[in-house]
Amino acid sequence: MKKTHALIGTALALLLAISACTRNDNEASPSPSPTPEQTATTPPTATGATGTSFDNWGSYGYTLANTRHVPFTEITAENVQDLGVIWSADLKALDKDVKNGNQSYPVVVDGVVFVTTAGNQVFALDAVTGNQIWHWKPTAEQAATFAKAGIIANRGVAVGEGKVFTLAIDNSLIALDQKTGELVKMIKLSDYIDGVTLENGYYETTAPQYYKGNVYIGSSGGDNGVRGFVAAFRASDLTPAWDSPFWTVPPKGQDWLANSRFQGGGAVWNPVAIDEETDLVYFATGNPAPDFYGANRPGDNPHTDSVVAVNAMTGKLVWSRQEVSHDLWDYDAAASPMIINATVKGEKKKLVVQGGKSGLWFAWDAATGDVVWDGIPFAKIDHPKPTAEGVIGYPGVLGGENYAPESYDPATNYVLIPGIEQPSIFKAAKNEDEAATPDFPGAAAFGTVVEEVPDVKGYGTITAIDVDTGKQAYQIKTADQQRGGLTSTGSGLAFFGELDGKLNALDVKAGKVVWTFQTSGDNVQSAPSIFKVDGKEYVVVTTGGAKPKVHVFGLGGDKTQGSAGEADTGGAHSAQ
Amino acid sequence: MTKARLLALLIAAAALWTGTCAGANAPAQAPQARIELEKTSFTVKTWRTDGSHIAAVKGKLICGGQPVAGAEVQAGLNKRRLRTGEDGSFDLQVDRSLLAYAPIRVVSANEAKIAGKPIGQREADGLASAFAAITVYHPIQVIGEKPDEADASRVNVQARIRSEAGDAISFFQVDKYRIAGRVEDADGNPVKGAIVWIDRDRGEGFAKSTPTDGDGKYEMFYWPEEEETNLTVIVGSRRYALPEGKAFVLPRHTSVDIRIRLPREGVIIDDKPPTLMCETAKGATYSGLLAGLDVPPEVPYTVTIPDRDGRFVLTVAKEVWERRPALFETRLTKFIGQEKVLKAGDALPVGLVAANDQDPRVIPSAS
Repeated sequence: MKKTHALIGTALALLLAISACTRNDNEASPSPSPTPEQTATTPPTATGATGTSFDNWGSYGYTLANTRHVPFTEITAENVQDLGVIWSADLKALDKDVKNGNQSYPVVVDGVVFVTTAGNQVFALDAVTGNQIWHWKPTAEQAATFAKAGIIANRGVAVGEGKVFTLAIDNSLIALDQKTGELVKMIKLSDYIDGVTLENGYYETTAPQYYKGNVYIGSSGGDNGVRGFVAAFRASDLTPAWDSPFWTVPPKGQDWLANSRFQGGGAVWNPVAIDEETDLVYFATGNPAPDFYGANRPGDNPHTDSVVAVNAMTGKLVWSRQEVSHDLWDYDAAASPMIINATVKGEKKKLVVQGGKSGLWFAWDAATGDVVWDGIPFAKIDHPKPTAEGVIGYPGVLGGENYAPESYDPATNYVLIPGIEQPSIFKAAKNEDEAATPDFPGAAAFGTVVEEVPDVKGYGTITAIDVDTGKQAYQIKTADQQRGGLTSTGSGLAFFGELDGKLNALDVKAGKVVWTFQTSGDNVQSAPSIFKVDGKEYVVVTTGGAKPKVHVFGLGGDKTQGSAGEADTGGAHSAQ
Repeated sequence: MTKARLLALLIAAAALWTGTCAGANAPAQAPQARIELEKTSFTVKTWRTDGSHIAAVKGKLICGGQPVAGAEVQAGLNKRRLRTGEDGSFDLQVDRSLLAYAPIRVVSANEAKIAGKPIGQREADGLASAFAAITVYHPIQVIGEKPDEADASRVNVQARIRSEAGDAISFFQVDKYRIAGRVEDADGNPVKGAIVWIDRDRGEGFAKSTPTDGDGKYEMFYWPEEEETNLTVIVGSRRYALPEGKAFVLPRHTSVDIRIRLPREGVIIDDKPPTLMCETAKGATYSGLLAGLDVPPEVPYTVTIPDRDGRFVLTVAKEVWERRPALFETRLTKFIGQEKVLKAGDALPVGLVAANDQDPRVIPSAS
């Protein structure tokens, strides 16, 4: 929508300008619409979970390698049509203060599904029945500090040492009792990491990871100009596990930030991957700041738009590889990296792989960082240097691949990439001359100006990369941007959601969608998690929009479908 | 031996002396305990992509001449707790890119053992007073001294903050501008505890104010952009916003004051005076490295903003300077409400530069 500005005249208010603009209303009235099969609105009746044997989805990406591939084979291409809803839960019906939108990647441990909500509530639900086992929410006073549209998404929890760990928008790290949901401890990150506050532009949307007694976190805020970091805290008492965080960019005023205008960016806003054989932590880093204005951040801006490997016990750098040098297009390496044991050029190799918002996919030797596949395109690539007037660039600011994670299917040796095919108009800041004026050394614009390209409708893609050859095996189109991610199974299926609220199953080898189900949720902005209880295979996925829900599917479930939702194609951090 | 090296040795020697002395001050019956570090002082080395600005330091905890195993030591407040090994040793990583004064103490001796045996109260008392410190600092060199032209009882000390060759660091300069103002209720009374937010529909930038005080006053700091900015006021769990489809465009290169009067009913802020008033304001937030004099707060002195080579001038009473006080270095972020934009060479207001406990103290070398 074209915006027009009109100045308001007042005696003093010379500088107040008002413009017409459209805005999504995050506070739209909740409209709980419990499905017939929903049972989760009943008060908790038990503290235990249904079942006696459990195959867990233990962390954000299934295992700490983040491959999002389960070996389960009960649900197949042949019987997938028998898949239906076992239960669903309307999170707003469970608590009216749940905010719109949901990007939570469920973690399932011993028959309990742990999901978070926009606004940082945590639910523990019986994985088989949907019964609420416990529920934690921040106090109204705490929630008031982050109850703000646009930045309240949360991507889930980590579970370890009998505790459930989650991060809140206001840069709190929270430990809850795994059995009861009672608060064990909550810390402010700023008590341990100088300056990590909302006031300084930091906020938390990512899921933590638990490993060997430590909780690993990153943060959001790169586009507020924060200094990106990964930190480790001891799970036992939430005190630091490293001597200092691993900072992805220099302190303000040093090295390529020597002119002191900006903090540098490089935020790590999605979960780390961890190699349990080598104690290496891998993470993807965001764009340098300011995003579309590079004059005051000369050089490559190393460690931004990169995948970085550090020692899990010390935080010491092992290797770092950059995907985009001196980025001017907001091309974060956003999604969590995967650690895969794959066949490459005929030989088995352990790799770290990651697809960026740049539309390029990379693979490196996990131990050394040596390049294996260097920037395989999975989207249209055409992005001139931004000008003040604006240039059309592919991919747009949403990617490429945004935060949505890939999966790796070892049977086909395919990596499946969730993609977005949509350009943006990139506008550089207009103030290069002003920024260099010595009298105003800190007044440079932040530079984030981007617009949609009129009359171009974006769409989504799923690209299968054959890791052996580094070539695309196939690419399929989806109606809307791929914003959730994929999860594959030992029976050759990959499940993924869509922004209109559908959940699909893809035959990984054939590249064909073999099952589609319209959930009763508005849109899917996270990937499913797959687990087993007493030998039965279940698929759990969260949906967002104005009625955030949890759906659990299994063979023999209810096949009654919902009505089609409307795609939400807003910013990656938006929660509407 | 160069002067720089001599200075480093002096600082190291001072730290060791302190450690021994603290042990000696323990109760008479407690055995002397000490924290040995292979290195205690480091000059700043700016951030390196390869991580070489991180220095590894080995330490050892000794009590009564014997290593202490299983104790926890901590370098600085709220840092990692380091557990001593069987030989009393611990490993510490020091980030040389950041100024630091980090005291190291024993924070837990609950599981401490000496020669394989749990320690007793006497040893615990000794460990409680063991002390060492890590310092990361820029050397400071005095280039010259001359009487102050305006006041002969004062002296102008010309000095220089030194960096390693090729290292670029930033001194105190304009960082951000301020949005400040007042939140009032419909009758014009101040609203306490309100938070003012700005954010934008496009991009992810936002800023959050301090909670309003008893006078309804708030402030926040931001980078101006030529873009529509949403304005929201949060009072408790109630959220006030501009009318649908309205947004601010904030000016560049200036701070602003925004006075907001909340509606009597509903949550829409009427976007015209007198319920919404915006005017330019003087001042800006400055940030960066400064040096100051390590003297009690009641001792007045002025210091100038260092130039790009780190040169600055300290003006202080001659009798104070003749006692050769130490200097401190600090990275300061502060709002200064002056019309004029301050730059290198300008004197900062008396009392503006103050040290905190984590700032390194530096004994300047002579030219």
